[in-house]
Amino acid sequence: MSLWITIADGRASLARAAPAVERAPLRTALIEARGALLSWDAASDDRFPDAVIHSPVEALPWLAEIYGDEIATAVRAADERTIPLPQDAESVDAAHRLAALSWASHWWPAGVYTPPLDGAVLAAETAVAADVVAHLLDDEDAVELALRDAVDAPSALAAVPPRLRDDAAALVDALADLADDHGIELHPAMIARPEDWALAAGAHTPHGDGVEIGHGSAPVRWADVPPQTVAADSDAQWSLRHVDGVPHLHVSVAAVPGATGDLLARFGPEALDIDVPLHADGIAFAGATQVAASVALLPLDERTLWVRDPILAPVPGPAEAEDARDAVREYAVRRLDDPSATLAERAAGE
Amino acid sequence: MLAATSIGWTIMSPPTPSTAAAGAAAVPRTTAIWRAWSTLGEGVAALSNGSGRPLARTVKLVLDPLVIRPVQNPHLAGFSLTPDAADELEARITDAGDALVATAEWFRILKTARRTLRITDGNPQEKYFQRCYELARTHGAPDSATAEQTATDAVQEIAQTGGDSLMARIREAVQDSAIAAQLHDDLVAAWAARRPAEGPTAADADLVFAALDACGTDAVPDLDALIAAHVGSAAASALEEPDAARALGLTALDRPAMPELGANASKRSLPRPFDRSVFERLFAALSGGAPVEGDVHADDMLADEIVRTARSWELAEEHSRVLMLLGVDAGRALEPVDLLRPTNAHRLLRGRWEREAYVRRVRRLPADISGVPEPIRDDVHAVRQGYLRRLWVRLHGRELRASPTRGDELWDTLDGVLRSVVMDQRHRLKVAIGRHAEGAA
Repeated sequence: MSLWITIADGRASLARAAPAVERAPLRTALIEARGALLSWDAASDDRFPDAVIHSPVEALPWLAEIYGDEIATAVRAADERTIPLPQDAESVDAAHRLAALSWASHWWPAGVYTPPLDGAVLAAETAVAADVVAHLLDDEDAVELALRDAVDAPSALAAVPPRLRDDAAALVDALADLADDHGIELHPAMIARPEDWALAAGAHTPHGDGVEIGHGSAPVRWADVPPQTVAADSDAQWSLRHVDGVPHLHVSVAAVPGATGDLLARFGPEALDIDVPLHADGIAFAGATQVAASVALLPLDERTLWVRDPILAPVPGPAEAEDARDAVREYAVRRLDDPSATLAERAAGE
Repeated sequence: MLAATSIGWTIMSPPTPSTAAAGAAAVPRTTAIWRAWSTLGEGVAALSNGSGRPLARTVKLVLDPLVIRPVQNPHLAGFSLTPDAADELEARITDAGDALVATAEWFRILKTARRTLRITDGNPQEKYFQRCYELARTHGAPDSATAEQTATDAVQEIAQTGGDSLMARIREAVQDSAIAAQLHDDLVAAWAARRPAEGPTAADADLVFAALDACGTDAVPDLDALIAAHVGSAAASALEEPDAARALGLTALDRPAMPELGANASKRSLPRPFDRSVFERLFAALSGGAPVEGDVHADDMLADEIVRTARSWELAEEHSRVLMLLGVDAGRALEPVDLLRPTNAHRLLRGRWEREAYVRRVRRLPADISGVPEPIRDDVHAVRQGYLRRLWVRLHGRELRASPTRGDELWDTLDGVLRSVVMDQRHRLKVAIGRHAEGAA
């Protein structure tokens, strides 16, 4: 029988039913722990997580480290009670740190105004943070998996600004020790590469030959595209143009610098079957396709645009609420020069 | 292991006894292990994680089999212990404190030797932890005069007796036409001597239910009762029915057939377990270099494997067959059907599986718009088969390493196999993102 812990006003409430309100995925920082899922509001500084405990017996050995003894005891007894949070709990900050890294690697809102994070540095920090709480993680290979994604971190860490060099050196040492224990070979640091983050993506309007007969824009749902691909502060644009009398649809959306891969953009109702493949060109994900003449006659409210990776997004839906997105973007901007933020975030802020 | 850097590594205070003692008298076993471990200090940092807790591998490879020894001390097994048993377990760990500190020192020296010898394959913790404990027991703490040589010898020996070099000797054997002809005759003889097992009895169903219902609870599933009743072998009689083994994903054939001897294998294209050649079975278990216990000869491995192919479930030990039977039953939880008598194992496995967004999506949406690439979609629909294949492979590997599953490890095994199925599918999805946009639409 599952148990839910919900944190509010400095107290933890235990319940045998799920809370009515679920937090938006884009502002949820998660850890898959043994027998439980821990979740924090990513855009707040709340210290203690909400939890759903699937298997109390498996969660019991570590629960007190996150919530203190009183709450752990109540979980053991499956008591539906509200209990004040402890002053301190030995692993809650370490767990929170890992969750924040996981959130950053899934939801960091890189875009025109927010620089992207270095994936290898994130992975390096994730490996070190996962090692600290490895004993309460569901996946026994979490450290090793993160290490495999961190093999290029030494180069990225050699390129951090002088102000962060001590932190970067400490991270490299910790990473090297872990890699040595797990038999994973890191790639040695190459000479510092010039960072091209200054070339932030700009708003990018699709253009092309011919005469424009219509254009518009639509927000992109963050959950529909892989992290750090589409600029999180830009809408997708479309433009319908006549070229030699034949209508062409151009679609474009600003890309996060360094983004690669392909996306798809559906225009209009599904029945029209207009899906434009978009390719990253360094500045934008862009693509164009020839369309039937009738497309020009579509009523305004059917001129919809849905940019997505089909693996992430099988069905169209509204973009995330703007206030949640704003909260996340504002949080990200604060993190760039927050001394308690991850090194990946602080390095991106330079 | 983390050194004392600004990233921070501190020994944390041990979990307070009040956690366990407040309600019932039982102590979570893990809590007892952590509590004892925290008294050993920084000397065991190389065997600990960043919070100073023992690594999962430390528990699995050193503490459980060599210090706590729950097989010999069944009262020290299980998710929770009586206060007396917890005290005893803690005493066993603290008594072994000097040896554990020496183990950590040996590990550091073996890692240095490994670097010097330019050995890079495999996970050093996996390969060296047990040997380090043996060295600690026989030599005590490393002596600076001899430690380097001892470590070099150990690392070299492990490299030579590891799965990869054993596999090379097995390959030589099967490529020798005279040996191969003899092995083929042995295989035919083993299959000719196959006898059908007796079918299961009604009492077996209750034993199975009880074992699965104890999963994920304080109770220890009674595997011994299942083993004594030979329920695993009995259940294998059903595999001879047409299509039965295929329905479980263990073969692509109508019914299990005698395997080839085989002389080559590729990790990417291994057939289903019962369709694998003798060589492929050993290859799957040994390649990757995980060490094999003791002094194992290639000829013996081949002879044992040939006999194994002709036994119930194509496994040699009753405890493995019992686990296959339990896996078959528990695996029903992964299919979208109502379960008549769900056990705790069923509920927990179903929970883990259905928490995956891609699983829900594959089930609810038509194939062409689910967005999940076809190979993964197929694996989601056939998850019970994939689950049982992976379970069989794991049990087969444990037989080769002579490490049977204890009752208190049953749930970890059944749940761990599903976790590994899920992790693998998540990884394949992650790799597919951004690559198949056009094809998948």
